[in-house]
Amino acid sequence: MCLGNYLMRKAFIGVSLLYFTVLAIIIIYFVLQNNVETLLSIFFSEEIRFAIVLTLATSITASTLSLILSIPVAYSLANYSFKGKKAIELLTDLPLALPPILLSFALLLFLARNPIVKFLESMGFELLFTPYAIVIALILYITPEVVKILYSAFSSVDRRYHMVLKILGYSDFQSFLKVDLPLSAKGIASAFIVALARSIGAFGAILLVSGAIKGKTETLSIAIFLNWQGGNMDAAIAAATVLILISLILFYIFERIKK
Amino acid sequence: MIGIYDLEVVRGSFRLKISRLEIKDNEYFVVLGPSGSGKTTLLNTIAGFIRPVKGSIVIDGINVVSLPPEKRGLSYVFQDPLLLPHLSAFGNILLGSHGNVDTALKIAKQLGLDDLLEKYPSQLSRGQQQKVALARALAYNPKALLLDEPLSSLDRVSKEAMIDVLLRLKGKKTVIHVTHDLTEAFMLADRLAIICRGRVLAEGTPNEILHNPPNEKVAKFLGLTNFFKGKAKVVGKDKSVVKIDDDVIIHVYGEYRGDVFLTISPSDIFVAKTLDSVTAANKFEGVIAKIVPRGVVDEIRVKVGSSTTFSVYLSKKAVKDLGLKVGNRVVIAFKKSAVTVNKI
Repeated sequence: MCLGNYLMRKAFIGVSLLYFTVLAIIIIYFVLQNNVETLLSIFFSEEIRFAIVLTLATSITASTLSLILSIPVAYSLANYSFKGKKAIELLTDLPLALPPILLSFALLLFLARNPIVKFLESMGFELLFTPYAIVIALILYITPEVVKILYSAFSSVDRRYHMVLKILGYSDFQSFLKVDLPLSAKGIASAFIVALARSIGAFGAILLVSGAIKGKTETLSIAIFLNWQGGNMDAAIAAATVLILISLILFYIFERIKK
Repeated sequence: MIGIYDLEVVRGSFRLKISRLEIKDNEYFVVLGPSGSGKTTLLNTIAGFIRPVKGSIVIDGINVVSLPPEKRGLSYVFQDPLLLPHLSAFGNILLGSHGNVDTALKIAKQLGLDDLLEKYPSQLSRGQQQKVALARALAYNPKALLLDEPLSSLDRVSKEAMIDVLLRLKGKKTVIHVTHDLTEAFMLADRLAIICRGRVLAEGTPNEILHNPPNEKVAKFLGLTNFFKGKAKVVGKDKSVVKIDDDVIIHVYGEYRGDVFLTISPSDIFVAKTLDSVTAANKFEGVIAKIVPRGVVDEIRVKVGSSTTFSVYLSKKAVKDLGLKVGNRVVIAFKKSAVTVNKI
């Protein structure tokens, strides 16, 4: 191997190793800040238990709804030609480019001034600063990415399978059930896990619409923020440690699905 | 019966035009043509994947042009097997029978797939996959089976096994088989059409087309040797002569005038040492220009006069016994009945 190639190989690998070593050190250092006894007592505190349940409930609900919404969107983009397709593609990409806090702010204004929301509030159904608002914000936040993953999965299905089923007398919907869903199963599962991971860690996207109310709209990420702001570092670290654990579990599942 | 009338299909700059093509019930019909000739476009139009700009496709008395593929009652085997990878071989055949287990089992048994039913496509050879694809198509009990180059991606052994299966369909199912392979076409077809650049050049039984190619393009496509153009004149009742060039005049049966083209099968020409020993109406002296091995026979190319070359097929033993070598002077001869004449 010539010297230039050798140096380039070593330098590039070196940068990769350095980056991931620093990242691992930061996470391990952070986890080591926990005092086990304090950590366990905070884990089982009412506040953190509530945050865990709320985070999982809102994330699973939002990811499921986002998946249901994204499947027809991604399938249409992958398989149909129609007027406005380019616009939809652009709009799907737009939230990816927007800062999450902006999404939350825009949604806050929209919900606060929306006559339907006002009507619902007059009927006693609160939306803003409730877990429902968190679910809506999460759906808006994660759907572009879910659509992207599903679009890639649906696009990779050989269209000739549709021809095979069509000629055998199956309708487009039957073909969708028999071909596209099973052949995109890995992509769908991946999209769900990614959506879940994004939702569980979401902060900026839900901050303003949730109101960050302790014991009401306090997800794990908001619990970190509120406890850090209130000077309760042990509780903030405990909440963050739970987030790390959940993320690692999701990461493991994601890797299993890929295989 | 499937009838195609005044059909016109446009795909970009390509135009497929067929004035009339009829496929009888239970006929094995082959559409033969080179790549890009429009044969797959024709098949996809019959299937309903492509809508023609005009014309009609009549299946069992109904014009199906406006019907979607799923309403036409046909089935299709592609060049690739396209088995659903998440289903077993049996699961794939069940797709064709719409869940009817008895039909799926019956077809699988007919095609000798009994032992493979539990296997998934990734566990099957290419030939086995294509057989399962055929079983899936047959399990639908289609009015006609459309085959798009189903043998082209198979190795020799798989191809032979698949040909055996296809031969068993003859007389039992209407089949439209598209291919560029002459051997495959002539082996399987009850009738065939030769298609080139979106036009049907010839239609008939393999014998009719081989021994009486209707025009020069067909003869060239079929790779026929001993194909000559010339000027004909009548010399008696049911007798004509065709002048190929100054040195070669061929005697033929029939009364022909003007421009014609002739074909003579290389197997119908024989070789002799001297002119006196030959009684055939057509005999010429020439020089062996080349000897080309063609499997079990040799092709002897004999140059007659200044510009005409005849190809003669002889067994390798005959070539050896006669001691034929390049540069030898020989006599070639053939009967009037060996010559096929077509007017240009």
